[in-house]
Amino acid sequence: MVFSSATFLIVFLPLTMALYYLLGVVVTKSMAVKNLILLVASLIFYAWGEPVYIILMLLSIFFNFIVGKDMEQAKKMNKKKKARSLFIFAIIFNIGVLGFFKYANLFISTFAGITGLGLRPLNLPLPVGISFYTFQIMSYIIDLYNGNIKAQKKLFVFALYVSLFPQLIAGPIVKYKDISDQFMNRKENWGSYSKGMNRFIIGLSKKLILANTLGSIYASVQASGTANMSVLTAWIGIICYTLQIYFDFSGYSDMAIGLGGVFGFEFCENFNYPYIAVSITDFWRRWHMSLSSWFRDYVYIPLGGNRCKVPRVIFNLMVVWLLTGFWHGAAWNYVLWGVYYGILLILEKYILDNLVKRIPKILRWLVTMICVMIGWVLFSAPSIGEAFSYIGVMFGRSAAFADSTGSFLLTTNFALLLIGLACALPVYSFLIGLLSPKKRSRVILALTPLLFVLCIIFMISETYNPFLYFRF
Amino acid sequence: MKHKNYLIYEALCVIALFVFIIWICATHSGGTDKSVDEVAAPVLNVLTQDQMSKKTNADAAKAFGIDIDKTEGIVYYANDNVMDVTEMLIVKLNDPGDANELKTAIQNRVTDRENLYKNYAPEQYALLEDSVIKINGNIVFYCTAVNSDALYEAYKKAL
Repeated sequence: MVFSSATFLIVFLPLTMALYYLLGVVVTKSMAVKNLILLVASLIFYAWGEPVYIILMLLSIFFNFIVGKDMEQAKKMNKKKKARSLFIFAIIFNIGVLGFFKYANLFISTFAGITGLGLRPLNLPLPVGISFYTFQIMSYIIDLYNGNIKAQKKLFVFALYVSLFPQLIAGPIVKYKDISDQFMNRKENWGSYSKGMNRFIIGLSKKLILANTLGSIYASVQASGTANMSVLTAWIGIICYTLQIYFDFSGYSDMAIGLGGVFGFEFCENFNYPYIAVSITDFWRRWHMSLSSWFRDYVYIPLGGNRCKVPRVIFNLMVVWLLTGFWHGAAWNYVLWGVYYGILLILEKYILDNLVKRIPKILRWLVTMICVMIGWVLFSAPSIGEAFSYIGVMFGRSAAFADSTGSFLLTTNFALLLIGLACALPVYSFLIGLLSPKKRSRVILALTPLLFVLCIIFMISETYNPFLYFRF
Repeated sequence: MKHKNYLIYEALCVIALFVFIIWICATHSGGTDKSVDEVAAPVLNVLTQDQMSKKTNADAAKAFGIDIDKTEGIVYYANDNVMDVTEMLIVKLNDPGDANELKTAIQNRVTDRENLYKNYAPEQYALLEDSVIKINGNIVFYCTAVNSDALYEAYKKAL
């Protein structure tokens, strides 16, 4: 089930909220009841798309819960070797599950391609959200091993942490240490509810109104093929995709954070206007922040971070970015995309640092955005070959600079592109910040229902409703 | 401190995981190396084509939100009568990882249509309720038809 579907908006969410507030908040006032309602709702939410994979998630939950308790017991009894063995066992289990269900096909087909053996890919459907919940589980295991947290004593609370539906299938990746207190100690009030609903509707609007509309333009550009594509068409296409992926993913994060607020949770932020970044480093401090901080805390720093000699730091960075690419998908273009960012960040850190500081900010922004857009071509193309031919067209390897398709796309979508750009940059927060708090809340109160009505109209009238991060 | 032995639970989890993997590989893996037209051919023999007509890939993209670039092939039949909900879709995807997304899109379409027909066309609503949506590796099969079970059987044999 996705947040932008009618089933979720009309049936699932109102029913869950009604049960949560009536039984949990008004009648019993019990945290256990509230958690139980959320757990049951989360399991139904997950089982909606592919019911069999709920077995895998429950197995993962039970295994990691038991290993966590065992590891804590071993540490308390000063059995360091046992604790270490359990830690390695849990990491192998989690990476093994993720590797098998997400990457088996890629490795089998690559191996078959290299060796010429007639191996057939397994073609298993990907368990939804497996990358997100596995990373959440691993944060629990690693922090527990490092002594940063205590093992969760209640299985159903741990199950709720892993399966909590607002952030289950597309993040943000919430670390256990950041949220553990909230399972037994959180307060829902009108403020958190209305703020949460407002954030949810903003996210829904980003997804349904902007991302889907921009996505359909990029889909039509991509479908036309690069053979006869003009430079203008290629740039319009990739600008649309750049905006689409931001509204798609940040919209989903907004919906997740908003829904968390509705049920009294405070999730970490995942985006901070990434398209105002003036360097690649700055971009990655603003884009998918929960994933970046996961890799920083659990891979980069344990490898030594930047407190080592330069070659080692370069190695650490490349490991992190190779894994970041791999995390995004089981295809070599994602790996290339990760390596591309690794190289850019290393160049920025060690070679271009002084030069970058001397360039005017607007130029730095422009160069950053061009690099980001090239990255999105690698990310979105069906194959590496097609990515390079698209990049070639963007930079002049084309029959024409502009053609009738490009001009048509530009004139018919100019307003949409401007609106998209304004929404991707902090224009709204700047304007709303100019108002007094009283006027601000009135404007928000007037805008939110309007946006919701617009979302419903778009949901009913539009059939193009892909979700880019659903498959991760 | 009371010592608890968790080893048995850990071992059981690992055994259960292996059993699950073997079961899922046996029941859900595979897909097919055949083209989508080869898979569809025996299904079309069962399909009452006088009631449904062949639609283009663009029609399928519009109806289900399919990204054509992510597919190896599409076979889509639907009824031209707007008061008739029968349709049949077979999609072969480049990446089986996209199958769930497509399945969700199909489910959303079925739900939307159920809401639409529920109050004034109960027989159409009943057909929608009996819709079949299945994933087999990189192939997604969907049909809403009077003989949907027969269509699904033909599809399974064709894989």
